[in-house]
Amino acid sequence: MEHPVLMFFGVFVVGVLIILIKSHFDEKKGIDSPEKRKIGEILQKIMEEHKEFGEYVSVYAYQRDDHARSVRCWYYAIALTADKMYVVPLIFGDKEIGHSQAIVIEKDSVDKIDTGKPGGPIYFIKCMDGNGNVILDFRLEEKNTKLDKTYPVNIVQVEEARAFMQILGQWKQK
Amino acid sequence: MEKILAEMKVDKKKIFINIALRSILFIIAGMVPVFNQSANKKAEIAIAVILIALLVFALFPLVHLKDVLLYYDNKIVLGKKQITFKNPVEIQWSRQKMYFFGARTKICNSAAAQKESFKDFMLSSNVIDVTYMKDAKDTFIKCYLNQ
Repeated sequence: MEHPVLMFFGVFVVGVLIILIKSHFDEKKGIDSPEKRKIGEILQKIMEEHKEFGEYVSVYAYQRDDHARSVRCWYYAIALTADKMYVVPLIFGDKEIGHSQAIVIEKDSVDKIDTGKPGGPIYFIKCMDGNGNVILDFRLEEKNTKLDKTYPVNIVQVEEARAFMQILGQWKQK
Repeated sequence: MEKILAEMKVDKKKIFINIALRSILFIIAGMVPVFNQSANKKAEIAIAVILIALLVFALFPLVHLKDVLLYYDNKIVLGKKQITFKNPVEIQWSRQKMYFFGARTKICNSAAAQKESFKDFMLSSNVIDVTYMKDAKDTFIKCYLNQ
């Protein structure tokens, strides 16, 4: 008890180390996690329902809205083809992953796409219509690891996120 | 008669963990008169009032012990509170941090979600607190989504 500041610092360092080690293991799990497979299955089902049998890139994305002590999050599974974006809202329970109907955004209905700072590993994407109204606003991260209930998945999607950004780049150049 | 899709009871484990966490505050405050034996009567009364308030606070989750959450086709009911919806996609889930005491989970419909100020949202009648309910979100997914 002679050095309370040192003790506090020690506890802080141990806490940071635990989080770093945990996120390292979560990243390894995220390469082929059950959540990633489930989201892939959901998108495959949705694409079959919409008779989309061509190539597409699937990613997991989210958006969060922080109010002082409250946080509201929206989670999406997104499949992107050369001319359509299928956005499937997700809901995470303790054991279950739920989804609702896909929202289909056509390339022609998007006038402007803001992808924020280039290069990742996190992309802030905003799709706007001709009047400047935001159609869709989300964050795409290459590495998602579980942290608390607002970060519910271990999904590592480095290749997928880069391919997604590449196609989105083509959308911008229409 | 409307068909009940699911009926959920309270997760007693969650309630008792919350009571245990709240009780820590009560115990810490209870130690004050032990270490600080003041002869001042006003101080003693003040400490007694604070302890009673903290005891009520610690045991407050018990009022939820008999809650039952019901899922219907187009409404969700918890006690006297209910929220209606046309499409289950309108239902939004929010978490309110309580720091040391964990987090509260609330559900609301589109009417509450459109409230701009946080205070209006929290006071809206279209918000239900399901913090202590067992498997509320998983059951919601099974009943209304993935179809």
